[in-house]
Amino acid sequence: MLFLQGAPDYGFHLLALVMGWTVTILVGAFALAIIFKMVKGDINLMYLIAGVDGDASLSRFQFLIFTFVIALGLFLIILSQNPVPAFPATIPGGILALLGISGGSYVTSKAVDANASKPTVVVPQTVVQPSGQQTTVVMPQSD
Amino acid sequence: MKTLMMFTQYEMGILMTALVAVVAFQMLSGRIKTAGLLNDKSVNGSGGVSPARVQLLLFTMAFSFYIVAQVADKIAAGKPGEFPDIDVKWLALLGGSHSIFLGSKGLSMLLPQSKSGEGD
Repeated sequence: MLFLQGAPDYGFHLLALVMGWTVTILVGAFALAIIFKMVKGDINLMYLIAGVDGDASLSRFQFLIFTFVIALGLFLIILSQNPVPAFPATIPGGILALLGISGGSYVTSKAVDANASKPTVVVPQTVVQPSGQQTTVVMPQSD
Repeated sequence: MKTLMMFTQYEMGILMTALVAVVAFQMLSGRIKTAGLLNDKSVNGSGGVSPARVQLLLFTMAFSFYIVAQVADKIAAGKPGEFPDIDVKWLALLGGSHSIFLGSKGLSMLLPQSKSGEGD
């Protein structure tokens, strides 16, 4: 009855506060550990934007850039809300289209790479000699 | 509760900035491999700089600055709380740039193979 009358529920408030601090500290600790391992070199980022051939890939690079830009933009927008930080009510279609173009380009590029780097199939051809010995001739086959 | 919100804001800000800074620093210092980013990687390619890749890189940088500027502009204008609307022309430009890159890549990967296959 007390709750329905609008009186503050101190037990619930305390629980929310404890949970909030726990989650904030846990997420912060995980993120700090990951960033520390990146700096130390335990998490190797050398091939972060590399393609299948080991060279840097532009499609991965642009995907990374746009991800960072949208993430930082979203963070700034959440912080700038008054009176309390909040997630934006709507995400405009332009932003979704931008992410779609970027992600689609990355996936398409990966598909092209996968098709282009198919190894040449080598089929051994066996020739039976009259003496009964077998000689295997390996001939490269073009697609 | 106010202290918790303030702490979370600073924590997220510092962590995101640190992540971006670590990746940017490792790219600049060479720990993240960026060699061959603009090179022509076709089967019979020269291995030199590819114009399709250069234009995509320029469009990506330009578009990134455009979005950051739009967000900052919106916050400075006192209209926080929502992402800026991106002009369709800009999206078309970016789509065109990606199409050029992918078309060039697809052609360079596929055409030399079919040419060499004709003689076999």
